[in-house]
Amino acid sequence: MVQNRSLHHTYFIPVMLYLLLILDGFLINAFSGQFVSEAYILVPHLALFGFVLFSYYFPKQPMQLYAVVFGLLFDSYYTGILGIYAVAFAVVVYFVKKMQKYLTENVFVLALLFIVAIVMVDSFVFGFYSLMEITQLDFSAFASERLGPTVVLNIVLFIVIYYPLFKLVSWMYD
Amino acid sequence: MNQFFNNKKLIILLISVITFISLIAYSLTNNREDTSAPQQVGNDVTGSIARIFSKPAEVVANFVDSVDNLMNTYEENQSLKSKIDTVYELQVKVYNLEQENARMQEELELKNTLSEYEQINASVVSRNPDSWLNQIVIDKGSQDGVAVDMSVMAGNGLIGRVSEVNAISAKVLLLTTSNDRTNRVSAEIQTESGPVHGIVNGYDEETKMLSMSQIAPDAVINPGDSVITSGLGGVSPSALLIGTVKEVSMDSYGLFKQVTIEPAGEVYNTRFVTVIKRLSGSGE
Repeated sequence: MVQNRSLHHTYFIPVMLYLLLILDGFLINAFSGQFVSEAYILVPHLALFGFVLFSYYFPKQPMQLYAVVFGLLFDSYYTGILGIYAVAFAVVVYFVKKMQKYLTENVFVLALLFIVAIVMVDSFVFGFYSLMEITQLDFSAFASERLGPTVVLNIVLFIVIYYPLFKLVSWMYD
Repeated sequence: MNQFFNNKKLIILLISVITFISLIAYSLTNNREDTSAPQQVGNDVTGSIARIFSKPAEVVANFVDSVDNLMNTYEENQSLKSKIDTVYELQVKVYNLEQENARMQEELELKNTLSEYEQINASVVSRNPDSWLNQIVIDKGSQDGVAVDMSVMAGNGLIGRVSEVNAISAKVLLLTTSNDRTNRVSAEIQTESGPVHGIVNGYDEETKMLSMSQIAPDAVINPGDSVITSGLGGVSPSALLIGTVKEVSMDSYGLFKQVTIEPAGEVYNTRFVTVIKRLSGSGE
């Protein structure tokens, strides 16, 4: 988008990230019967989408700091094991910022970045939990039962949530 | 050497990796009894804001439920009518037994038996989105008397135990977490020939069944028998329903029997839970 236009109301970035983080836990709680079944487990990744979207459109904002702060909050609030999502979010923000220079601005590019981010974060968390023996799942089962369905769910969530957030981004830019 | 220290990025990476590992080590060794103050504040604030989302959802879900109930009223009424005769009979029997029990306790001068407990009602605020560790956040904390390791019930049965307590919120680790080291319940099966003891220590996500092992090989167990907590683990009171026996088999070594249990508690779409506070002291 218009990089040289001025940005205002930047406080919306942390507020939106915080709300998306809470919305993740709310969605899985409200639909746990539908999201968790014998054949698949769906993980909503709205907070991750927030990080991808904002670091894609606002590369000059202190997104790494937000990633660490909200990542730690995410860990503390949901699992109590600090550091996993903080690192995952920080890496995703770094990755998106690096890629952003070489990519054109386009919905599909953003969706692709989001999917890559989901694969990165979920694989990282899976690897970590296997290491700590919290899960005994092997990688192929993880890919077919969790990763694949999760990507599909998040594409649906992307379609729902992209437009309102894009409106917010455009409004913040002028 | 000099060039190495000039490489700023490498230094930052190194420091972040060290911080990351020490944070993980800290939270793995320390996350049970006392949560650090900043973490507690963060959790409580997030929990309170999350309640703004969960309350309206509760209202909507309750409305849908009541409409659903209304649709089934006729059929339900028919089946309930057939059951009601036995209820009267049971009521008289239970009253009689309770009186007898109270008298006997008086005679034995028992203060608190293992089966006595207080209830703390709470509603569910959020759930861990990634579902590796099945944890839910509830809206009661240490201010309401919730403490680590208390049993938690939902629906008709046990669903887990409290794993972390903040001032006004708490985390509950559900029985459905597949990691068996953290989640063990000492249980007993009510069979015709008396109680049979064992340990509930696993959950199969594919069949949605709990598994129970360490059961004496000569025990006679029939499918349909109830499984309850025994209270011998020192944390939960006795006589909380866990589920009903589905299948009985020998374990892979042929030394003990193992049983799969159909859980009685609501593990999914849980909106309200009851935290159980045991009255008699823990045996530790």
